[in-house]
Amino acid sequence: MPPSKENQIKPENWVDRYSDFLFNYTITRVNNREIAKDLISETFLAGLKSMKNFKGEASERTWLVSILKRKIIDYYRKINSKKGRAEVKINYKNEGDDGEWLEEQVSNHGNVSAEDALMNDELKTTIFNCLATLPEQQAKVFKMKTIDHYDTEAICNELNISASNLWVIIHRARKKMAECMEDKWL
Amino acid sequence: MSKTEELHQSNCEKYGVFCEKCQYNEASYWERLKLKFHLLFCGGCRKYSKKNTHLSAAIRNAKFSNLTPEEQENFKQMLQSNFVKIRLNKK
Repeated sequence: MPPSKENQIKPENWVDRYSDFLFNYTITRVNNREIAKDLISETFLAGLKSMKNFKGEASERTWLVSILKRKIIDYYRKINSKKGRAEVKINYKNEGDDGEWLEEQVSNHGNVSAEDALMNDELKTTIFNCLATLPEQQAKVFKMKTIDHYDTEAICNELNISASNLWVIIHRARKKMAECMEDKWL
Repeated sequence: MSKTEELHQSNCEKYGVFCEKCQYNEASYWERLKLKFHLLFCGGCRKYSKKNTHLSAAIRNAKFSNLTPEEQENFKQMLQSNFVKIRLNKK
């Protein structure tokens, strides 16, 4: 079955459309910019190589995320096999501490924020999904202003619009964003 | 839509823009004052103003970490050069 019109692969748009989403998705999971960038590079490459396998059943983004998920799992497998060797070397601190479980001695920091990370992930996904429903110009201006924190003047110069024009665009974008996110988050 | 309703809507559009400027701390003193005064009388704008503040908070809470334009450019170049390579290999 040939891919349907709206679900066609367009690698030339990947960076503009999905790189921010993929990067945010990855960074909440690996917590390191450089590693996140590597994983996204690998994902894009794998995507290019398996373009012909894309059936157009899912959206392009869903498809890329499914590749990225596998890359992240592979990454954790790799570092976990290293960690496994290190764990053998852990010693009890004192001879007298025989009542304590080894697990209790391990600091719990990672787990405390796990739920927060999940919430944060959901929130980001909602924002990106809502952003995707906006007309292209509105989404672009909103993103530059709100997420990338560009100056008003810089955006006006780059997109060749007046400041009052920019604010009207922002207003339209934010009205739609607020509507889109209202049920769950506002 | 009646004439007064139309007028009301375009008026609120103006205050909506003031409200956006406030969200980014870029409203002038007069714009802030005019908006505050308008909010006293206009329930619709009051509601929107509140929602808008929540939207700002939600986006702050999301703590986005984004790629810099240079990093995006690197990705684009990487994609393009590999795209060409894959095309050539097929032929």
